[in-house]
Amino acid sequence: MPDPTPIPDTELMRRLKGGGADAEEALRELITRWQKPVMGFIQRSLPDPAEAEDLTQGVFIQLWKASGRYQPTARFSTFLFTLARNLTLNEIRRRARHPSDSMDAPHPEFEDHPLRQIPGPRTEEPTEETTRSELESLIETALRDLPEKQRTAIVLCREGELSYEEIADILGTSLQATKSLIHRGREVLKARLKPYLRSGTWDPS
Amino acid sequence: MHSDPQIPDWMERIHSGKATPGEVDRLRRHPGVDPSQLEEELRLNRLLETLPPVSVPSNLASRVLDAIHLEAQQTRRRHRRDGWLSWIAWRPAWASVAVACLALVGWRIQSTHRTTLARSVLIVSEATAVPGMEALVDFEAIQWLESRPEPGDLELMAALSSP
Repeated sequence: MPDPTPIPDTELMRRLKGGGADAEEALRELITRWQKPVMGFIQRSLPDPAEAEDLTQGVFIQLWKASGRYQPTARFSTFLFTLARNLTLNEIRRRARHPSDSMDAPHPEFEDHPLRQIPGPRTEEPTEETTRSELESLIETALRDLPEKQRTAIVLCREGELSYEEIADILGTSLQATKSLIHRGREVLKARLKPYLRSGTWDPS
Repeated sequence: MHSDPQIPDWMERIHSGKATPGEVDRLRRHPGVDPSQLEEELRLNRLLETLPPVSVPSNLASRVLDAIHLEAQQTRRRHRRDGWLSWIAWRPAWASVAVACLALVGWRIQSTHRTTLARSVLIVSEATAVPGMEALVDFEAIQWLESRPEPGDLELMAALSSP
């Protein structure tokens, strides 16, 4: 019968840091636990799923490399998502240097805003034919087009299931600023997805 | 709107999608909450929940470990190669140091030699002056006398001193 008490992440990190035979097993366990939220976070920032998959792999390789820097006093989720955020930002910057495939190039005048904007919310009512996949695509695009910090805060809150304090640590902002980022991000999303938020126009059930 | 200190906490739980139906109901009934705003938040949550869950490849852990093994191998190879390269790269530096050491030792030997020579010259120059040429006029006669056996001299001295 397997041990019902899971080994804490910090203990797994200690084993990974120590190297040896235990390290590989510890990393495997950490990947199993965290691959879904990490991939969810990256996929909400990068449009290409294959690229998101490669980047997720890169995050765990980076975790192995950076395990020596990990201090058990820090929350593991903060450490992992900081790595994930940095790698994602590097990838977005790399894509911005090659505008042909850039989706998140920063605005030349307003760094906080992406260069490319999706069309504003449609004024007409969404038709019955609006399929679920079209809607998913619209939501994903709206999320991706949020300023980086707002998007990261919202995605970490939902996909990573992190607390506001953890998100503030990852973003390097105060708790109040993090709350404000989430609030503003959600306001932007509500504005962009307004036609789909009206009561009765769309029912997921 | 947020006069009740609990409202921000409940709103945070709604933002993170963790609010229980009971918490939502309490917020709906709360006089300090704008019902239309609350409904909008809940609808946005429902929209965000429609996003399909990410599909993670089942072999991600194996891929990561394979990549790590490969990278570790490459790092070992690079270290070995770098070891040789650094030895080769350092060789001119070591040779320069050796040449400098030899030059220093050579200079030191030469310097010691010169000092010794200078001291010798000083000693010679300080020695008693050599007698003049006039002292050598009867040199051969003196030499000859010195080469004579001592008993003859004594006999001569004895003959001269006898009355």
